[in-house]
Amino acid sequence: MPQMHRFFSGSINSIKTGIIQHRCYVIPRSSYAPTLGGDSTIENNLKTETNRLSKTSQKFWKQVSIKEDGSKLLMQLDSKSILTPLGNPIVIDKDRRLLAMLLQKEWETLPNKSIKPHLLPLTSLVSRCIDLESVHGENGDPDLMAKIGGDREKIATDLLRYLDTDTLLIFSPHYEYEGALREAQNNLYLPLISTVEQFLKRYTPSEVNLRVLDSDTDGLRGNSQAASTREAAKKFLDSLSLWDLAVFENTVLTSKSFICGILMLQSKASLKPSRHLELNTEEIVRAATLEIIHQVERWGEVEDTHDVDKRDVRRKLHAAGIVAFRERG
Amino acid sequence: MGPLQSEALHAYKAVIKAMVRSNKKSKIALRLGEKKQEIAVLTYKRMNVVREMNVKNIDVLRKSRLVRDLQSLNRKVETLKNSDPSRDRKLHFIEDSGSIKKEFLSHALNERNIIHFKDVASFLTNQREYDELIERYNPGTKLSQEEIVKRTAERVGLNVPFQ
Repeated sequence: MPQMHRFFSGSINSIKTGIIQHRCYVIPRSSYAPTLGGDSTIENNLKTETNRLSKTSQKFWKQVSIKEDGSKLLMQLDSKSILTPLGNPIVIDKDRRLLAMLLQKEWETLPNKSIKPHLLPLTSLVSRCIDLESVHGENGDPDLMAKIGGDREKIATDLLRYLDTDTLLIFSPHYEYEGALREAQNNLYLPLISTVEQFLKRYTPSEVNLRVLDSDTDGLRGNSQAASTREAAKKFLDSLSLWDLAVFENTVLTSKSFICGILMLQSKASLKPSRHLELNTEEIVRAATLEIIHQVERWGEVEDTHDVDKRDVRRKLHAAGIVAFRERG
Repeated sequence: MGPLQSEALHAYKAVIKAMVRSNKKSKIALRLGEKKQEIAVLTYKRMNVVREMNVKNIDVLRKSRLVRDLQSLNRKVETLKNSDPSRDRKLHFIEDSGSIKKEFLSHALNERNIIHFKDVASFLTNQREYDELIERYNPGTKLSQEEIVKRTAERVGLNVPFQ
């Protein structure tokens, strides 16, 4: 059984309020998935706009513009390209013009003073997409790859651990909330689990059965998926483009759910989605935070905790959806 | 207008509304900065006028013109000081709604695209609210570095040297 770390969701916040969330397994933070366009993990002195901003926290430009360059859109500050933390220009495909526009808005609406890391969620995710693509490109530098935690195999291994203890695979006991939570989980999760099994089936010749953890019968134990399931999930991850992989990673880290990542890509990025795998982002958020919704109903909303988290999950998952979005022809 | 069209219009309005709201803060900050700069320029001009007035043997005609200049400068500074950027009517609009409209119309009219535009609006709203909450619960974060130093000094009964 893989080593597993069990935490209270929201860590300090939950402990402070005395409400302990029952599920939610967090793989300890490794160096990937930077929270800001800037590199917060390792000292990085590349002269890029994103680094300059993260170091000085000062607005140093007047105009943000989008420059058309063939089939690409270049994001520019005062006619200089915006660079990612690794020094690659932020270039958006022309069919993602909406994303480019929202990136422009993001830089335009920064206040003059005291710019905070959380104000650039789209830029930070797009930077990750572009940097991942660059380190896997022809002239990819293995050092840089290690620096941003960009090794595809490593990312896949880390993400697969979320499938073991997926938020959507752990069921609450019946005695909690007079069975209301369990009933909601049964209604919401069970159909999703079987469609995801169908979906993963196409990546493996054998059967895919996702192992769930039922707190009524299983009590306190870990959960892990069968080798064939992991193999199918791994093949699915390998089939993703690097752009989509970054979105997937972001979604999984936010929702603590591998399945939510699949749902996000199927709804937003896939041009030919599987049946019943298309959900609104709001529905994905609901699936990922079902237990918290019940806790708030029972105990009330705690200031500086539930209200902040509620927006945080939504802004992050919506950002992932916006970066992933492709229009179906 | 079909149901799809009215849904699309609804989504478009939601996006515009969310954009206006999330632009508000940075626009006010920008305007406040400009205001400060304008006041500084006017104060400098006023100083020059006063200096000129204090020159000995000044022509009476010239002096009366300087007095008028001084009055008009004073008035300008007063109006600037009394103006409140957060009440500017421009805050209720976005300048380049044309490009958003164009972007909106370039997408095919179908349910999925409409949902996506609603998600965009939801993203902007949640992003703004998150920022507001963070600021509300961490009031120290919006202070400038000088302000933090000043307050720290005051806490132990000292004053920051005048610069």
